[in-house]
Amino acid sequence: MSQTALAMAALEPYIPSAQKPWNQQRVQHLYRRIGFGATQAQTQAALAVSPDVLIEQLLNTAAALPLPTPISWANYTQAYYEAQTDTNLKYRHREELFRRWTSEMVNEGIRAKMSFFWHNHFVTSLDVYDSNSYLWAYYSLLNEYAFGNFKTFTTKMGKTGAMLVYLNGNSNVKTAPNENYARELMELFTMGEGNGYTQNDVIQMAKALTGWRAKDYEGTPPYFDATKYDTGNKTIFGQTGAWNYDDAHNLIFTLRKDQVANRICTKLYRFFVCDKVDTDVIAEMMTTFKANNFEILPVLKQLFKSEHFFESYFFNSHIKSAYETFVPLLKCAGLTYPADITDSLLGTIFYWTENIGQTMFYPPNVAGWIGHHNWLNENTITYRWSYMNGLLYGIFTDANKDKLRDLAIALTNHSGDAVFVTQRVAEFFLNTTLRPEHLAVAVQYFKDGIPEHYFVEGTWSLDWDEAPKQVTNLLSYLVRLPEYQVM
Amino acid sequence: MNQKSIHQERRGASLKHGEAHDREHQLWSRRDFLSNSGLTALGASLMLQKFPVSAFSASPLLAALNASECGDRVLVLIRMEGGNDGLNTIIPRFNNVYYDRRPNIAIQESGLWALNGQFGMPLTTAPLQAAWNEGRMKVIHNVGYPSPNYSHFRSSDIWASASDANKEVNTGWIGRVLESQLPSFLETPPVVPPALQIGVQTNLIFRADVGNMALSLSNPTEFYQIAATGQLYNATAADSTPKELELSFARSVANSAFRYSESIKNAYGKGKTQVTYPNNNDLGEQLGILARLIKGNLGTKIYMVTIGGFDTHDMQATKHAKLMTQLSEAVKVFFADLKAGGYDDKVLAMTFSEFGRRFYENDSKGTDHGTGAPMMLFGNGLGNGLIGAPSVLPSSGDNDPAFSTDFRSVYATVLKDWLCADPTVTDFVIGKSMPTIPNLVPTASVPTASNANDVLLGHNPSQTAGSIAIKYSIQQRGITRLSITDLAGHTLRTMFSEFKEKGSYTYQFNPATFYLPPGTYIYKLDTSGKTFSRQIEW
Repeated sequence: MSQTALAMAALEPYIPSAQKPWNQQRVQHLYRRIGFGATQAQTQAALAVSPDVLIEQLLNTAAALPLPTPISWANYTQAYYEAQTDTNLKYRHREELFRRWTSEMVNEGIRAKMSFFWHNHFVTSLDVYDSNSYLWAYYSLLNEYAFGNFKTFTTKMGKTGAMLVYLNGNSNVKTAPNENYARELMELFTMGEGNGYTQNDVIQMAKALTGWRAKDYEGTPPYFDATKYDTGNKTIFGQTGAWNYDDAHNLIFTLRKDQVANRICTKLYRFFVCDKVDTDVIAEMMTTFKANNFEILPVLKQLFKSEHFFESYFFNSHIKSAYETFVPLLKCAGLTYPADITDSLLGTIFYWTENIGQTMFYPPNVAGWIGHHNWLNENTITYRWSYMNGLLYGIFTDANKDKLRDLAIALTNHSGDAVFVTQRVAEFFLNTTLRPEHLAVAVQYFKDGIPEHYFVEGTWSLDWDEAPKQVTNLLSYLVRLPEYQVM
Repeated sequence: MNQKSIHQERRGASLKHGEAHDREHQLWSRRDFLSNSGLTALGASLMLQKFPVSAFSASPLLAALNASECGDRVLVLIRMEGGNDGLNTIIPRFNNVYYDRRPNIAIQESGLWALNGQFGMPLTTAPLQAAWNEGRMKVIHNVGYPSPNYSHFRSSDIWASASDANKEVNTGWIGRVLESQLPSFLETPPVVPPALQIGVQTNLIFRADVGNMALSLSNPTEFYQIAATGQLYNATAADSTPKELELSFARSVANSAFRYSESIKNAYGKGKTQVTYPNNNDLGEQLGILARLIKGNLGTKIYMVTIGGFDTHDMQATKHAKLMTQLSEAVKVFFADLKAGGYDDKVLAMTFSEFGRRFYENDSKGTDHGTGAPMMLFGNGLGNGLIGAPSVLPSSGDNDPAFSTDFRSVYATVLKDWLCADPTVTDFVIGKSMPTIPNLVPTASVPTASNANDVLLGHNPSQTAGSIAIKYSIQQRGITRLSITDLAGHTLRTMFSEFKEKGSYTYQFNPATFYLPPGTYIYKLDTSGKTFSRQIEW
């Protein structure tokens, strides 16, 4: 890996220098993109090691996490739920998973970010497949392969109950082929629209994929039914044979590996670095992806370790999604679930994200959330302001208020200078320096009506009872700034 | 694609089970999606489904209020931050305790002008003398509350929330008034700020359950930016790096989402400053902005400005004198400006502070935190007068005198008589029924008790997914019925029909439990022989 990276210019490893120092801003840029932000302690710890070591460690740790612990209802079928007198049980179970994934974003962050990325790649909607056991299997697979082999991931994804139902693989049978999944497999999940396949390839691909079934109203495990499988010859990408499901995937990943690598690397780049792609960089990522037989982890390591990733003009250039808006506030303030965050709050966050356009497990269509500028419009930004305020005043109540005080103390070495504290807190949460006119306003928020002379005389300190509320007030201003909408 | 039919079947089934989150997400076919290439915004399309365009129109309730005679009345709150020294503001002339216990800072006869034979104000407030003489100023003596708190912050919160001293309430009295007028503030946000605050931030006074009802501008500079450009932020990108371009994008979205910008820019452009405001007077500058907005018919009912520095623990003589000068000059010029535009009848200005100060001076020629203090009211038609009982200074000992008038009586009076709030609403806002002060302020000739404003109805998105909080308040006890109809007016479900006492209520409406699929409906409140309705979507 490292030889490959060194040999190429575009993704040269980042080596800290006077011009590009390894500082808080770069650490936070990394954590905000690779996960959901960092606590003050994580930021400090990160500065003590080299970027190379840190990234290696973060990604290896996330990739080595055990599979998600099966949830109590992982195998519950529709029949089970129909036998219950509590007709809402099925929905309450789902909500349990909505909360769980959100809590993983807060507590863990990096695998949660990556698995959520794949949720928006291998799109399915619970609205359509409507099965808790399928939901669990889908979620579990997203986590299992978050950093794994993309080819295996793809192969397994097409056999999940969620996907079989969502894209009609389920009704793709020998006698009546359904092209839906075959098309999206190539168009969205691997090669890209119109990129290396014809309409005939779609038809032939559909035939190769026949036979995989899911009893969509029952939620019982998917299975292969040989009687529904088309055993005949198929011609895919000009190659003729009695291709089956696995053969079809092999054809994609051998004959169309450039297209697959291009699509996936471009998507990763746009998600983690910049919406506007750099083709030289994509080319290098593709080389790595192919050379590693479609393993995802090496591509991520190379990308995050690169000087390119750490260029300052990429800082704060990513429009936050709904989850990227709410979760980092909790995470950066050092809150964890369940110690500091209630189930009720996680449920509320689900409701908020829904209202601003990102409902977990319910993407709008098979292309997923478009993201980027589509996250922000007059409506969503107004609701973001309102909900962030709700989050602030909801979470930093008595139980958690000292977290903010402690954070402010840690960030400022217990400074009694209100302007300095304001600057440091702002830099920590926005990862940028406030414009002078905004700093002046922010300081007023932070002083929160405390008579000026207490600051002038130096009697005010972060030990005051008012300090947690002051930080909350400051945050209420910071989260309204456009700077908070980007990361 | 047979996805659609599966989807529809499924949704029916899931609603039967009371699915909370299973919303109707528009499932476009892939082809539709592509044909909408570029699609303004996926998010926007989803949102528009939930929040109709009318979300940005003015509230009918506010319009109804505005149509009444009270409608164009404005309340300006002048907050004297830090604890104003009441005894050096309204001076008890010839009071031995006052002069004995304040040997260095008491204001002597030569330093005051007389309000009457017993009380005077410092000569630094001479600009107010004409207002007093001409019947445009009143003073309420010794206003406070039981079990006084000496912390700036806690006492400020008590004044803002109008709570008892031993209760912590997280909403403010003005916030509650405005919420009662705009029950669906979040869903149908007004285009005019219901309240506007210049000065110190995040005051509890404007906070309601649904959020802060006031537009808060930290300082005049921030205001001028909006008034001049109609924008919150300068959205010009400094260069074409991704960082600058995206930030610029976020700024431009914030600018267009700032729904008050147009009304403020228009009012500020239309209103004219017709007098010269004093230099180096922050309060004057703030009031100058208010005068222009009021004269530009902005439509905002409640404003608050702040003058800080009243925490005079030392060197009070110099510090307090300077503040009194600033306050008096600013108020005088403000009303002259209003008068020049013919708006002086519309505005009542009222001062308040979190507490007064000790009746005796400390060793630093200042005063420490005290209890009750006077409030001053300014406006045409007030008359003049000293209202309520003055502080009785103890002839011995250091105990603070008890307050005479509860500040909540002042609030209640202003709400009922100046802002024409229904008595029930007033009691609800204040949290208890407080005696009002007769003839404190000019009352409106047309009370609004009989118009639609006496029944409040609206909904807010609940914090619980799937459940919608419908808020209503009824002014007369009786049979009350809440029902839901389709757009054609056919009653689909009745949530309840029962006898209710007058008061304010929240009904948690969960559409799924009534087996109502997502869509647009009307909910109706029938009470006291009247019907009130609102549109709702989920």
